[in-house]
Amino acid sequence: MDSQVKIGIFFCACGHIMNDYFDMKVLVDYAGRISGVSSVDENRFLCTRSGLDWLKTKISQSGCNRVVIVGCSPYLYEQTFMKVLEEVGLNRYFLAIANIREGCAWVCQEKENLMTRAKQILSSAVKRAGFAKPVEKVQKEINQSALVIGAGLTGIQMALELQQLGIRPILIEKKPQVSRKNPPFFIPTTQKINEREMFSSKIRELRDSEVELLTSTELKKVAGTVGSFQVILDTLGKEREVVVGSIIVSTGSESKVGGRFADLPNSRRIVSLSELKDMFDFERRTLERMLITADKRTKYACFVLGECEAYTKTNTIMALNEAIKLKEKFKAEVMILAKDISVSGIELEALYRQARERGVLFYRYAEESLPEISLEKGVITVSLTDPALHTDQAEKSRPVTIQSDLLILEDEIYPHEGTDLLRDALQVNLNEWGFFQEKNIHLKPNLSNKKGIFFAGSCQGERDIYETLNDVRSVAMGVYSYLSGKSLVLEKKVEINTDKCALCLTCLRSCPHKAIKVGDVGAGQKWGAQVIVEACQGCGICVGECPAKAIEMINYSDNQIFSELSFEG
Amino acid sequence: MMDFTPHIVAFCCENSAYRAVDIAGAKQEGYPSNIQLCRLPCSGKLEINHILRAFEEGADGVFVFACHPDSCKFLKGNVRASKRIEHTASLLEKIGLEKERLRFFHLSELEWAAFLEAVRQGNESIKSLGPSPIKVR
Ligand SMILES: Cc1cc2nc3c(=O)[nH]c(=O)nc-3n(C[C@H](O)[C@H](O)[C@H](O)COP(=O)(O)OP(=O)(O)OC[C@H]3O[C@@H](n4cnc5c(N)ncnc54)[C@H](O)[C@@H]3O)c2cc1C
Ligand code: SF4
Ligand code: SF4
Repeated sequence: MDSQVKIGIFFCACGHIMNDYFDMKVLVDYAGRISGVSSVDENRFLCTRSGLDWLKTKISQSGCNRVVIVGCSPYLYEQTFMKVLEEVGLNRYFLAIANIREGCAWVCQEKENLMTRAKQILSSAVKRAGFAKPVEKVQKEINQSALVIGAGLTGIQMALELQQLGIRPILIEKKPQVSRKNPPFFIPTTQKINEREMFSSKIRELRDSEVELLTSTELKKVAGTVGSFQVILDTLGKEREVVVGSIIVSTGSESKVGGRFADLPNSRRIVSLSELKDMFDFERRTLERMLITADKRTKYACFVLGECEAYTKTNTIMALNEAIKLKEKFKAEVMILAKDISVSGIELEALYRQARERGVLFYRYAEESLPEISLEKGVITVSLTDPALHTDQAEKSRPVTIQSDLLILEDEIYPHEGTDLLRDALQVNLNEWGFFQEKNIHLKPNLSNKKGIFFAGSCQGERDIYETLNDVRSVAMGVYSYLSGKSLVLEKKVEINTDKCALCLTCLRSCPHKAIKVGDVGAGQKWGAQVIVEACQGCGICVGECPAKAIEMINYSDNQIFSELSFEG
Repeated sequence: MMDFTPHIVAFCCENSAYRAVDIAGAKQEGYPSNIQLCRLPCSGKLEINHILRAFEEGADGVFVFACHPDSCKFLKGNVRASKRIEHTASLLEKIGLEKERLRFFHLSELEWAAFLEAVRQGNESIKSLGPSPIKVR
């Protein structure tokens, strides 16, 4: 350890909690005797405003140049204490936290081990602080613009909201135009809303705005980090580079008939939910021919749900809605066959009740006896056993056979083609179904694993319209919080010693963020690997891989890691 | 081996396991206090010499906690870690140390209960192996 190092230890009693567990006098005494320690102080509540002010004065007064805080988990106040260090002119990484609350007091069930563990945690932290080296800062200008990929409802709304927040959006769409003849959604509400009108009005709003829209365009390559991503776009083979502060993926999903019936023979009378929706809007005559006849015979339309692997909410929304429409427009007998109808969504319960009131029939089938469908000479026969329908004599379910004039099957959603290419370019994760994987489904549902890259809408899997719009709002705020400042401060956490570098390129290959480049280090000097600060995420993978041990991670140096490995205390 | 308390080092990725350990602590359920934590920016930072150093320092067992497959914040850190651990285990065997002393677990940041399960059970298995024969320091 450097002889210039003077470590100041600051105990926080967390009110009185610590005294309930530890003999603080003994700990303070012990702390004072560790080598390199120049001062030991105690406070009752370090995390309060007054506590932090106290800390600031104490650090200045005691003249220490490394700080150890003995208290609670680093997840709580590490960043706060780092700021205090900066305010008194120390590097923010000259800090170590000895977490004796979540890491010791609340862990040890055997009281006799409490003090030993606390001392060991304390001495590790002191050693760690002793080995701390300054992490250099680099200032970068923030580019107050964002790239939105995919101009579906999510992408369009996203671009408009960002525009309002003063962030310049660039919206790219791989198809030649944005307008879609029919948006694939229906908004479950008791009010009258015309989805098609709503979608076209959004497109109009987009045209009237200053959002830069690039159609027939896809993303090719990405480098850089939040505040300044260098992106290569490809418009029909013509490449162009743009620099943006943030990237939002809103590439949505596609659908096809799913489940067991995906391979049913082609028939005009078998359609998917989204095809039915399109028929309503554009091929009403075909539907009429199928469902209205001169001879007053009742016509049947039958929906089969619950066949896809994942039971989806949007399918339920669409089925309920289309069933009501069939009932209203064609007076057909409409049946919905499902394992279970789940209506956990905004206004969905009301929609279900409405369907029942209009006379839509619901049949349930059990997992063990899935409905059978046969198609012979243009006649569709559906048979199932509903466990709720018993015959009079025996407790045995009676089979139901329906000859249906129209059969409607579920849509299965899957990611757009090319999603994996996009994943590779952005270096983010996909989940097991191939959709974009959020950082934490409960806590951070729109964040990717990379700072500044967000996901919104159905590119993350199934989303109804309300959820989609919620995504948009929260992502817009997230982007704003990153980009609203003037400049971005980056930290140079990883350094390569060119003298040791053997140019084996292991780091170049193993860095998941393409943050290593190779070239001459300075005019006339030798060649070596170098870290691109803007792109480096500070994971330390290259450090672990370099066979020449030429790379060091400043805030996790070997000595600091070793500090936490010894058992004295 | 009546009352042997092993020394165990747990290397934890700060994006997942270190957080899970923290929550486990906050839940006040208690876990074996002989598990010493070492925080890493990513399990991919873990080097072979860190593991060996832990054994030199007198560890009877070393546990490594990384993110689940395919959900590493840095994409492939956990894959790199698992390869290095495999290699280290073979080194341990060569010098006559049971490779079971080195264990690899996957954890997400909310799986504090899984962490408890892993250390309690892991602690027992290290106990049954007995003290490590190498204590250099
Ligand atoms: C069949 C189906 C039925 C649905 N029914 C309902 C419903 O009844 N009610 C409801 O609330 N919700 C429903 N939803 C969900 C609803 O459609 C979505 O929540 C909503 O459309 C979200 O739109 P989006 O912008 O996220 O995706 P999309 O509308 O799919 O838009 C994505 C856009 O990104 C473009 N794109 C894709 N990849 C790239 C790329 N690599 N580069 C550039 N551009 C790209 C695509 O061309 C597309 O224009 C349904 C969804 C589907 C698929
Ligand atoms: S891995 Fe190490 S030796 Fe190889 S190029 Fe990178 S820095 Fe140089
Ligand atoms: S620490 Fe190394 S491997 Fe990780 S992002 Fe930075 S340069 Fe790449």
